[in-house]
Amino acid sequence: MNILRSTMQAFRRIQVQGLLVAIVVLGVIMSFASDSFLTSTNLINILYSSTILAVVAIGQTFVILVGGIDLSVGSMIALSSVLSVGLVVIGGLPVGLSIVLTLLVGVAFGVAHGLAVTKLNMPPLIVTLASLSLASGLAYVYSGGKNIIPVPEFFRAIANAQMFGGKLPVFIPFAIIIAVISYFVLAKTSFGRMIYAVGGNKTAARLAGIPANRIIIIAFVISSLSAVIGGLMMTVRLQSGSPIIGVGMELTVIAAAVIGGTSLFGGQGNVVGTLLGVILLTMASNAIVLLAIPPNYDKVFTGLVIALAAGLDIYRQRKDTRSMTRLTKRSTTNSVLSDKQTVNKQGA
Amino acid sequence: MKKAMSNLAVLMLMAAVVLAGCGSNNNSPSNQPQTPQQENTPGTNEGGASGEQSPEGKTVAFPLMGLGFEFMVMLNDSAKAVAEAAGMEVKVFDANVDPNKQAEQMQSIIATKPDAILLSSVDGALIVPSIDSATSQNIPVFGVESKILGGDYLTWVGYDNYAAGAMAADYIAEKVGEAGGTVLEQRGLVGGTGADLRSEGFNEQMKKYPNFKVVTLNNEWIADKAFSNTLDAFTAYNDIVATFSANDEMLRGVVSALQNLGRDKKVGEEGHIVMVGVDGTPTGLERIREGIQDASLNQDAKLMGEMGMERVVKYFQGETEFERDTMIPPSIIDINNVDDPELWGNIMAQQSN
Amino acid sequence: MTLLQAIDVHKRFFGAVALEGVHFELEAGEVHALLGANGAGKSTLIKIISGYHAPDSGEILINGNSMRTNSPAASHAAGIATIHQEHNLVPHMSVIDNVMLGRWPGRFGVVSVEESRRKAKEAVSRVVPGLDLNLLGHQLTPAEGQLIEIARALSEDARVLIMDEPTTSLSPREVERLFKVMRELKKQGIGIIFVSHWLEEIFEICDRVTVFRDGRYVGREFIKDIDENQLVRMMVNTDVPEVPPVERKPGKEILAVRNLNKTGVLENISFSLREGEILTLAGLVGAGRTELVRCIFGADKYDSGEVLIEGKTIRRNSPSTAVKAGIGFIPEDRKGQGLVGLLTVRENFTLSLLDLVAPGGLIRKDREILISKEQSEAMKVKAASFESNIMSLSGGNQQKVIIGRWLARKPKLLILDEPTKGVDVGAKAEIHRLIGQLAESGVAVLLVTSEMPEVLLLSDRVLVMREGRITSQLNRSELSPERVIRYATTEEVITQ
Repeated sequence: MNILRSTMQAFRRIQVQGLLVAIVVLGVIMSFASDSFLTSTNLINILYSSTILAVVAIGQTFVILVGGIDLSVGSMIALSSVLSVGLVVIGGLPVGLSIVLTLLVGVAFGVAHGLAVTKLNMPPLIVTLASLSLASGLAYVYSGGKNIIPVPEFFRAIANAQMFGGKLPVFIPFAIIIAVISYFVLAKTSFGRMIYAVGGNKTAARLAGIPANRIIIIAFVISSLSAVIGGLMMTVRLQSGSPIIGVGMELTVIAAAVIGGTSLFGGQGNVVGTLLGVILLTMASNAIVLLAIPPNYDKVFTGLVIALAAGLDIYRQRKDTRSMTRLTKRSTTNSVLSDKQTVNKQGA
Repeated sequence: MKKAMSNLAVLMLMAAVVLAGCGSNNNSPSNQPQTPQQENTPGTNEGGASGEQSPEGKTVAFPLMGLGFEFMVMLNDSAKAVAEAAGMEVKVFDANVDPNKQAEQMQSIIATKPDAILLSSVDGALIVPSIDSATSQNIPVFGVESKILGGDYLTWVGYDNYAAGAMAADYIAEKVGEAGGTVLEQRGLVGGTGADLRSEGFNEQMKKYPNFKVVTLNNEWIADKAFSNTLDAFTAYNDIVATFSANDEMLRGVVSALQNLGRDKKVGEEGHIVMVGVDGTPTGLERIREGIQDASLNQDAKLMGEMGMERVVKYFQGETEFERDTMIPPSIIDINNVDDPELWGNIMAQQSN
Repeated sequence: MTLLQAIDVHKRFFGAVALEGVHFELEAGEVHALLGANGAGKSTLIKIISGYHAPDSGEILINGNSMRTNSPAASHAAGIATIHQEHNLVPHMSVIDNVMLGRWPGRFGVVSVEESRRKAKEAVSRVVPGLDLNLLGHQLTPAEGQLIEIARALSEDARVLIMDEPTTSLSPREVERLFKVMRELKKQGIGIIFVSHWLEEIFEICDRVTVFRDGRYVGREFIKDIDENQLVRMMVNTDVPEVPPVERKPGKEILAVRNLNKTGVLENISFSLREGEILTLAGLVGAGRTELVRCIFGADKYDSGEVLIEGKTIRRNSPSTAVKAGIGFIPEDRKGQGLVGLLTVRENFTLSLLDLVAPGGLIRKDREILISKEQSEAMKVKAASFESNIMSLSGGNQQKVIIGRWLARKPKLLILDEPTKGVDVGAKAEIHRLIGQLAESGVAVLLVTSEMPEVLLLSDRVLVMREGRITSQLNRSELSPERVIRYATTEEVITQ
């Protein structure tokens, strides 16, 4: 019981209990509605299906935390898929080098986004919208619109790699490692603190000596890199360098982060919230298949699930606000009193 | 969270605006009432471009559904080859699977007054006003690939999507046999003309086999969705015996999911999941050779592109009467004929090498 | 004829006295200056006259009748119009529409274009004859915009014009044109309340002057009966306590500023500041003091010149470099530029100390708490918990957190921009004591303050600024409120 309470407190601290409740509610409903839901296979499937979205959404969280947004991630997935395979198949490079070069392309896009936003004062929405088109276009140009096959042997090996006697696909521990590192960076390092400070009040952060522009640029690089990594993962999963994979995924990515409590104004949010957002969305699509919801209704279902999460969160916030109001009232009374005392003292 | 949600709403709205572009106001340039002609009746040449008897030097605009598909790349290449051989100039427009964008492109195309338009539409119904707008300017419109659902186009060469779905159903029923079981349908985008017809043909035909149950996965053509939905389906249903995919591309996701589940048995092995796709892409053919996929319903992109453009050539040579709607029937590709060098998938693989 | 009278007006805001029994009157056909240092109560009275605030007690009479309701609409209806510093025209509407804004003549909601044009033309011709009436709001210069605002007021039959520092953004020639218009309006029997800090302007255009100080009425004089010195004396608080003599021995030079220029903002600024010295920048709001210290810290760009710390040039426009060189900066706008509102007290304490609390990039929470504790004790910060949100603290305590953030760095130079603005009396005294201690411990302190007692209490040396230039330097022995006010408000430049 104690553990439960302290866990709840931890979730309260990071402001995601509403979402957590939504996931539990959906889980309970699902375990009654479908016998297959609460099986280890299905739960692992949900995690496995979450991995790519999770990696990209975590990267997105960094950008949103500094008050930006990155619409280019879907297209970056496509570009990295085409490049990583194409550099081997068409370019004849060794697979390791092609992966490194693909990652560097991601870094270049991230730096370009960051510079445009900080030095040219362009809105992140416009900058990354341009890249959404540009990266997708480059993917088409490089691939000629075709699938590039065959994928290098290395990619096949990863696709078939399983851990714990074929029970656990490697993507799951990989995504967990990325999530843990990101959580640690945001919560425990000075860089993480700077991210929150810049997102919360860029001017104040800058005047406190924090290199705000550099922090913003790095956040954009992290997002682009995570999209490239997501693209490599999807290439492994689908065994093809394709210019169409990942396209249009940016809205789901942003939705996951925002459902997870990341504020689009910046400065608020965390990795745990984003992960829960990812899990909720994946659970919704899992439920659609398990409950055999017909194609015309599946979007309605997803919409209802998101509305449930949002509703629970607002309910929680109301409760918080009420207790906050009480608190503020008390402190106002106090300060009025102390003012009077000061005045009296002066008078005396 | 509240703020965040409202922001998300704003964001999505913006995205919608961005995606919709300014194309929304370009949808109905023509106000003239149209009497759609009966299908399969010969069309007549209303164009004003007759008189000269040579295609030499004519310009053809070629708005395409989207070049993100190997099938479309092949269609484009073969049509262009025919046009170039006849000395015509072809201008290609990629609509990126966006019907609004295509309507917009049609407006620009009409403004440049090409001698003819060869159209592969994104949406057979939404493009009708644009077609009428073109014909009212005496620019003849030739259809290719996706079915055009109205308007005064001259002729259309396409694929019998309904038959492809139905043939896949027969093939699966035959391969699995009397035992029956659950069949996963990997569906394309709801509302897409081709996707809907394939799904309809497949489902109608499967009704003839009462031992089978069809479960539809709404993958919207996206391979990664096919991956996660197939994973989920295998936990929900334990008697899955086969899968039909509305294109070969989505089977990537299915194959990956089967590998993950340890259900990736080859053709002929115990526990093999019968797998039938549509299109006959190079990847699909490769999978058939490897024994992963059973069959694909060939959609002859090369023939379709050639036939479509040849009609344009003939039109410029003075021919005025065409069959209004021509449907190229699907044919089954399986291990018996997969190495046929005439298959467009093989031709394309050849070019790549 | 007396157009307007304010009799014994009192006003408090949340307990703070803004006006304490002030009087004012305005005759038809006069320009009456309202004069006083920052915080004297001029703006409060103007806002009461124009209906934005209601007085706590006292009366406003218009044409001898008491103003019954206090609302902007009521005062507008009574013929009072305010001309703003920055004009409030609708950018994408023509001069005609701007003049007739909201009162377009016509019937059944259909605007009569001809009628509009005629009425607008008539009003505009009284202030800027010959102006193209079809120009759009955003195409006008600030000066023209201001005149159009006057035209709008005239077309509404305003009898009282309030001009709140109307000359601030005008060139000398534009000021001349404005004065010409004002003289015309005087002849037409309109009364003008003229707020300006510039004594020259007051002597040039005004008939009478009323002086406020610290919310109190000081006196009313005819301009022809008074000279500049007398006027300055009226503005200065004679009750300022005698400055307790503090003897500090300034050490070596810490900061040197050489020929700093920023177009339109700063002009050729040079000075130096030594170890253990408190140098105050005095002057009126808008004199360029905040801009100057922001340039020194690298928060803003400057065009030319040099800032040196201990003889080494500091890179422009990079606060992080400035911090590394040993400068600390407490900005004027605490909420907007000092605090990160979403973070806790502890996190705000260590905002500038991340290199110290996070060796190797890993934040050591124990170090954070230790620093928060030390600084809280040194400055008597009242906070329920270091983990509570910074916004739950009072303004004074928030300010102490920001100061503590820099003290823990042990800076060589600390810049404080209005450090006691909006903090309570207790916190103010605490901050004063702290600034003194800092100087004694050898920190060079550069202080910007608009409060005369603070200037007198803390400064070892004062630089008075006006319109982006340093107009004079006063050592502690030469320091007097009259001098500061005089150098801040008159043209002549005194070089030592």
